[in-house]
Amino acid sequence: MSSLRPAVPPTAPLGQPAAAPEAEGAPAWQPTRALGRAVLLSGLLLITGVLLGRTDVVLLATPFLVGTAFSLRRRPALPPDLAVTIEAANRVEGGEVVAELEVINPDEVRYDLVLVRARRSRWLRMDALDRPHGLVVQAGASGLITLEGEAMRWGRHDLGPVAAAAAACDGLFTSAPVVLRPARIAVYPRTEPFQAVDAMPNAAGLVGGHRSRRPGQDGELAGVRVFGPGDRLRRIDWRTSLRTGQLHVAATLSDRDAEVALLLDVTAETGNSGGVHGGASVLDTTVRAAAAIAEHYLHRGDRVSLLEYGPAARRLRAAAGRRQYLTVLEWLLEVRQQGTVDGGDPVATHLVSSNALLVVLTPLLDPSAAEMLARLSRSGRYVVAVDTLPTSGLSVPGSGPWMEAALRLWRMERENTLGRLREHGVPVVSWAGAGSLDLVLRDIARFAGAPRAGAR
Amino acid sequence: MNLIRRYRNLESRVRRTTSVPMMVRLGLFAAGLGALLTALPLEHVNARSVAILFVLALLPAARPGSGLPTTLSVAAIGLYLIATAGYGERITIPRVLALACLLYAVHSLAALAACLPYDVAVRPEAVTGWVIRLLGVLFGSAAVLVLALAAVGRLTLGGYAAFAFGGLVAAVGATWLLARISR
Repeated sequence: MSSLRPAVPPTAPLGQPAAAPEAEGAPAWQPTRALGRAVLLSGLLLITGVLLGRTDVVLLATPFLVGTAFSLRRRPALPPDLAVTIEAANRVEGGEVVAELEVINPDEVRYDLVLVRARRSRWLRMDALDRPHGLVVQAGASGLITLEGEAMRWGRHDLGPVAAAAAACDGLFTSAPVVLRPARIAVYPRTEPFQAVDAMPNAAGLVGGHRSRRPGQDGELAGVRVFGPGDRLRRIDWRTSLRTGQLHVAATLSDRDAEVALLLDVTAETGNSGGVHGGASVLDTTVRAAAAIAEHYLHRGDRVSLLEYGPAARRLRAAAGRRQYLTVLEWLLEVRQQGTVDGGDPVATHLVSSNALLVVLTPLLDPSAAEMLARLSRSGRYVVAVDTLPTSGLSVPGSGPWMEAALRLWRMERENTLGRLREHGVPVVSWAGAGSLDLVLRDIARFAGAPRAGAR
Repeated sequence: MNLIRRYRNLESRVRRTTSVPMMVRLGLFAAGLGALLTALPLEHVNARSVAILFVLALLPAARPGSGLPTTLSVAAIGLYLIATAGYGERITIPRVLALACLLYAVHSLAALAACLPYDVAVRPEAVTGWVIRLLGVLFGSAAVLVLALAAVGRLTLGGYAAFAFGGLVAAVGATWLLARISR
């Protein structure tokens, strides 16, 4: 007889990759201790009754014989199957997540009890998954467990692995646990409201919503000049023409789009991320701010590109429109802390247009980040640094008596770095949602409008 | 430190415990205690022995997936044999019927409790269906038992060869079942 095992499905296989029980060489269904007990007690009572010549002892075995025969009239052969369906809604952090766990019985025998356990990412609040679920699944049917919860943070979160073990024949047989691989749920960052004034340093595209310094057919008046070949008749300024006796036209500037490049510093992560209802870590602020800025400028018709400052140095090429916004959100879901940059320049600055507004989201914890900012500014680009370091909840290594003094010294040194950056012409602002960049953008636009002396 | 951790684990387990597994274990405990009390020789029915049986019945309820339900059943059968053969107590149909039903209830509820973790959220139909099947088996067994008694006519055999043959046939049937399962 094969070895008996407890009817309680073990929880250990949850973390292991999915594998069908047959693939491991184990039978799909195994007898439990209950079957061993039924057979043992029946045999014991029968043999004892016969040996002692007592009818009553033999009759004590009657329920065991009747019950076991009734339970074993049909034995299951196939293990349960599992499927997870995630409602395809627009999932934003703080939003509702709905999923359905389906337990399928492909056998012709009813499963008396199917025990389902599942794990989840800590950023998915699903109270139903905190405990195992038990349900009956009829032959050839399926049972549903509806899971409702809340996505607490942006990113790709695992729902699973999910494990199920069935008991049939009144608990005399249990199936080997069936494990389903985790399902990924994409949760997009909640964009904080962001509005910026119409002040782009250098609008350089073909069409768009920003004033440029190039002549064109749009509404911004550039001056009045003498009529020339190609000028439209409706642009003739009749008042000036009558006064001077020569045809004059009202010259206008063109409206053009601009490129905004968002550079995300992913070399460091600090602060306690409490999800959408708690504090924000560096990466939380970085991702949410990047999503908000990208949404704002893409909505205005500008082109937005993204770059990572880190060893991987991922890049998303510049494009405009709603499709680009969705691509940006997907791109942001892959943002992870990547560690310090070891030498070289991970930012492919030559890939960023020289006319682009470069918004660098950085906590300025890595000294190389400040050097990178200064280098970008020296190259003549319009650079704005957004400080993403949280004001509280910094992860401090240790708690010795000198830690407070050391922390104060570090803060002073950081302030010094920020001051030096401002001297290099790199404005550094803290992220505060709407209007965060207004002041610095206006200054940059004013500098960009001024005549430049000499070579860059 | 270890004690504090154990206390917290226990506190967490108590907080997470759901009602259905507890009710099943309570039923297992009641059936186990009933089986032991039914089998206990009447001469030994006193507070001390009842307290011991109470503790003994708690063990399978605490660990239904272990061998303790089997141990309890064997103990009840042993007590019954001692009561009837050792103390010469009269064998009555209600006592045999009650002991047979309670022993099977211990077996079936232990099988169910072993499938239900202490914190499971289980749908009621899973447990009610199980209990209905258990009651069905008990009623069917009671009918078979009464019919068998009516056929034999008495509870002590005193050397009926036919009954011994019937017992042997049942034992062969159990062996065949074991062989079938082990395939």
